[in-house]
Amino acid sequence: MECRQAIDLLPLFMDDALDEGTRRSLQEHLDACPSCRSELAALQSLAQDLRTHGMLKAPDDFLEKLHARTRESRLKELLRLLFYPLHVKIPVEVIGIASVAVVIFSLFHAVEPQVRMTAPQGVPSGADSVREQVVPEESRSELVPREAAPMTEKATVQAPPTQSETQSKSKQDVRLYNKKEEPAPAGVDRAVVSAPLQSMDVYIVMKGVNKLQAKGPAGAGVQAPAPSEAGDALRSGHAPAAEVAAEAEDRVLGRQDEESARPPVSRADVPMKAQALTVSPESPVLSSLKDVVASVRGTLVDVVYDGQSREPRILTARIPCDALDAFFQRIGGIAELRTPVPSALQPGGRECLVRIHLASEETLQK
Amino acid sequence: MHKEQTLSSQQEDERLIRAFTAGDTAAFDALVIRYKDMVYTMCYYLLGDADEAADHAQETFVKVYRSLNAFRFESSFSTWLYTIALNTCRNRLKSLSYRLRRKTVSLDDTDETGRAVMEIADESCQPNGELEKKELMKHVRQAIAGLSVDHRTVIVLCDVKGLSYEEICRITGLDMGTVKSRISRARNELRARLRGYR
Repeated sequence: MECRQAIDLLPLFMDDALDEGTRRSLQEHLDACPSCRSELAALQSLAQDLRTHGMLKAPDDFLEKLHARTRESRLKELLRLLFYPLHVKIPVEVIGIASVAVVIFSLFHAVEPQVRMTAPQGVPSGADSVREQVVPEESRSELVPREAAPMTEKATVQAPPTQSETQSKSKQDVRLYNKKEEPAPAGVDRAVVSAPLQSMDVYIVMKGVNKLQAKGPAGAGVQAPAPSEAGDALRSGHAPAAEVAAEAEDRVLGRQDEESARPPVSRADVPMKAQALTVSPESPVLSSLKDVVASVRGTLVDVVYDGQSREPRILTARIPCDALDAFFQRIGGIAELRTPVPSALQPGGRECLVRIHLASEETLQK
Repeated sequence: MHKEQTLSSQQEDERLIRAFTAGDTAAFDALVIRYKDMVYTMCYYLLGDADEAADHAQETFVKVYRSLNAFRFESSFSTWLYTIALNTCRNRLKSLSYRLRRKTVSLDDTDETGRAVMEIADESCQPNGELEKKELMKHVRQAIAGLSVDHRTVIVLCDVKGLSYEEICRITGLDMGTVKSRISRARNELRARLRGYR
């Protein structure tokens, strides 16, 4: 064994912490090497000095200061228990993930109602022009932007798409409109419903619609309301009877000059106005469609009326997905479908929102 | 003889701890008096400053005071106490405030309590051997302060306190091989630093 190796082993040799073979070999080296023996003696002396003189004495006021600190510690512990009853260390990452999840959840719930109302619609080609003709200008005036709507207005429907709106719809930038509240027909569920998974637009032409309309009772015999009431009813477009009474009153009193004060009526509206005079409060078209919807366990959600003719223009219904085929078959029995029946639905939905657009041959040709 | 002393010491510790947990606060004072010098010494050698050592020795006892009710006698009280003291000092050594505050003057001129000696003691009152020993220990403390924290730790535990290798393993959490290696290197390094004085 060399001295260098022996010196490395000396600190453990003096504590008798070497294995037997190494210890014997080192002992042999020490017997032969006075230099290593003196090094061992120095190490042992140093260890002895440290053992006897290395211990230090704590300050005299150690215990008093410690008492003060323990009293302070007890007070702190009490405060900690009072104000931090759930002192649990939570990793920052977990807090971050939870916060992001809460924000996303809140945003989703804030946005969801608008997404429900602006669900993408499968508008067939040429539908815009059909709608332009079906919906008169007066009816459009009832549709006001949501921002300008008073608080009492409840029912919301989507505005009929114009050319510019169709372009903006392609960019998924659809505005919401409020419609002035109308009395809901009997059997129509106006309750806000949760959004179905899928929606579709169907354009139909009722078979023998002119005959059905012609069967309605005339305005004669309906008691005319006061002139002011009649005027309000005409402007709001609520009651066809009131409108008829007002027109009759105008004819009797010869208020030809007051015609100019009314909203301008376009030439295209004239035949529809004539139809409005003969329409009944309970439209047979609506009745037949309600029957079809009810027969397939569907729910009529909303009805949009034509402002002039007071005939239903757009019916919105929730139809069970498994009853869609039966629904279209029964629709085909009372009306002529002008859009192809959707062949395949995406899986997973229980109900489908179907918007039934009613049109006449004349308006479709135009 | 030493083993019997250790056994009786452990029994005394156990008696005092049980008395403290039963509500006798004077028993805690007795424990502090028994171990305050050992804890203070350890803190002093590790932190290298008398005020820091007193502060963190007290901090160690405050921690013991708070958690003594949870002591389960699975190890000796002294081992548990030294482990707390070592961790307290390690935390302090890691802290930025300690590194900014650290001064190099503390170990140069200190007496046996570790406090700075402002005046030279009256040599006529003390025998020459005692003065030489004091001078030597001053250099020894200075040399220990120059060691790394790991080497300081094992020197204090092994040579100053005289703990066994097994106890050092339990206190430091190291395995036996690492402890032996550190003790060997630390002693040789300390011996090298004191070569001119001995």
